[in-house]
Amino acid sequence: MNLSEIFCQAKAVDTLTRAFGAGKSAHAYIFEGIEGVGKYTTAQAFAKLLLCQSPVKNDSCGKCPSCTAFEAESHPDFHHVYKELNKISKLPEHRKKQVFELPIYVIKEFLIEKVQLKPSFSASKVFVVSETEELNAESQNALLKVLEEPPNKSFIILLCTKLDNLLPTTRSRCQIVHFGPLSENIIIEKLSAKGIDKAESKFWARLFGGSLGQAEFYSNPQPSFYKIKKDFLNRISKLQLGEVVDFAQWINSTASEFTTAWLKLNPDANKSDLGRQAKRAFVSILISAFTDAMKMSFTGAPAAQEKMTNFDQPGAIKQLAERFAPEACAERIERFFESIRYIDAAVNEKLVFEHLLLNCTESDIVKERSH
Amino acid sequence: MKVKFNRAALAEALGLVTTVIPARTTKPILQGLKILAEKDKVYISATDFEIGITYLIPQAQVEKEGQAVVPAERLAAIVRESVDEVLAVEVAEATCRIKGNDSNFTIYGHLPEQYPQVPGLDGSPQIEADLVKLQEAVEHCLFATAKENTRYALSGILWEPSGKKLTLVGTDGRRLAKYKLNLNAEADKKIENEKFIVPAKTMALLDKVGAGEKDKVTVKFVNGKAIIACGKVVISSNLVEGTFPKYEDIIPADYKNKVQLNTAATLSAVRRAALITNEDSKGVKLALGKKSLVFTSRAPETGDAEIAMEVDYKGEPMEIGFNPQFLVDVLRVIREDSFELQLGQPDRPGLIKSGANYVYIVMPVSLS
Repeated sequence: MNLSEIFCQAKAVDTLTRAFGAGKSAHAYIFEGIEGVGKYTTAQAFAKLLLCQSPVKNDSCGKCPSCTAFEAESHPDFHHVYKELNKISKLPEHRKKQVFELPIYVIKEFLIEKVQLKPSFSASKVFVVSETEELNAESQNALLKVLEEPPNKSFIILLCTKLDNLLPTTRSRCQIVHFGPLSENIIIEKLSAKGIDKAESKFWARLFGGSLGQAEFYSNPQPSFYKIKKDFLNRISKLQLGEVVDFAQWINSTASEFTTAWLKLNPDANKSDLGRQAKRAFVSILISAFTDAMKMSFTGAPAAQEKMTNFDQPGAIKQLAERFAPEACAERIERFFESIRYIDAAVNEKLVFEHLLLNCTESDIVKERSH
Repeated sequence: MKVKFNRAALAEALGLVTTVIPARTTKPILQGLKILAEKDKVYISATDFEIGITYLIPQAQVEKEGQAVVPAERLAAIVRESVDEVLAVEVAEATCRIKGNDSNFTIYGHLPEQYPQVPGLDGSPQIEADLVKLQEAVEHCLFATAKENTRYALSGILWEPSGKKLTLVGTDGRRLAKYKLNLNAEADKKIENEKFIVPAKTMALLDKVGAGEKDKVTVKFVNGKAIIACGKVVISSNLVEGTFPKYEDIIPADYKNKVQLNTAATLSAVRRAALITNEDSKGVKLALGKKSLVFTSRAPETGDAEIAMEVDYKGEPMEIGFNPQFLVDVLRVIREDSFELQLGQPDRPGLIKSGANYVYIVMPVSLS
């Protein structure tokens, strides 16, 4: 893909091409923005341009040996660094490890060591590092020297969803390019082109706040998360205290069913990541439902429905709105966000969901923790 | 493509070529090797994007020209286990058939167009030497290069061509090995006074190439790459970026305490003394006195050792400590029967000279 084919990120692409045109490309970039808005795609296209031997109008030519190799995914000077590279580490003890964050040995072996060798057939090398929000302080400190002045005039692009997780020392060495969320219409258009139902597309577009990647991922029809979501919300709207334990169990087993199914579609993915993704989706849906209920309480059913994320299940939302006052909703939403943090920290998921669901009943079993 | 290979010759070639194939990679095509058959020549090449190797296979009959990418490990295993004298390899699209007398294998490969280019030697070489001599020089320096170091320039061997000489240097910051090699002809004027750092991995590969006594090796540095051609094999490698430390300044020239030692006897003495060392006290003490050199080691709660050697020494008596591994490494590669040990003060590096070409310096350890 070329830079000119990137859609909806005009500002980011413009920043990159103008700097390139002026011969002032930075040697270290942070591409910042939520998941699934084209950061990696843009990084790839930009890398292709940086490596291209005869760029045309600030874009890669697509014809030179460098571009051909890039298209064939066998460019020796393009390196994608991600945490699962630990599986091909030269040290067996690293290969066996289950990785949760981007470990320092991956950064050392696949970036810091590789950057020292001269490029093979382009004038420089390009490194794209995925999920840098998961870099710990140790790994970031190891990177500092290379970021400051990459050897061989190499380019390093860090992809990041949470800029706050990067140290100030890392941020100050890089130029930050912001990637905004995509518009709802574009996502609906793209998903519809794949044969996804319009109502479903609209729901995913709204749930993930403009992330095409996430929407595409969850709208995968085999197995359909959308169907499960409808079930889930209907049950939530009527949830009684006595059902909580069984329902938490159901969420867990459903989440692991999805994890297994997704793993089959993409065997290289990290299993625990996919598991967390499934669980996070349930929490996101809960958050969206309570937000919708709040909207409904304030503006009344017909007016709210147009703008709701769960516009397709007004009945369920209405029930929630009747059961919970706006203040109660807000309080619960806050706790749900807390749960996402628990999931990311790999807290026992059964407890997380039980806790979560207890919040969806009128009972006051779960009192707010004293802060 | 259809080629008849002599099995033994092919097995030998694969033994070397497959050492380049990465065991684990994100790009499956790199686990294949490329076979190129043209007229009367068959080449096999492999690359991991950093090192590339091309091997001209002897005793191969080309029946149909062409090229193919075949999974390396499988092919090597089939060739190794087969007993036939001749193996016929036929490739159509990405399917490879290997036929022996009583055997028939089909393995699936990749399309050759997708395989990355492996550079060959074209144009005139810049350095020419005897392969055996270059390998000897590499062996003398390779062990001293850094295995784990954040200064990546030290993870390679420095090449410094000048006139009819080529200096190779390897160091890890605690020891340094320097070998001066005679070239067959003057090095190209274009690379005079230039420095190149070749990765240790590449040098180790060059050392593995089977060498006949008269084999020549030619080297060319171009576009950040070293291209080394020796006999049937061409090795290409990306160079290491960075500046090599100024090694000339740290080789001491003012030492007066010199002693000639027997290589094998010293190696044995150091190894024996090293038996009584542990993680906490790695040092072996060398006490040099009139007519004797005594190696002692001591480890708390373990014991101590003392090995005495007769020597002909006229200088000041002195004591100095070394990491025994750093001595064992160098004594293993010295080919002469004896070498010269030079010492200054106990806190200055020890210097070992062997023949006219080889210098090794090693930092002492404090034994107090």
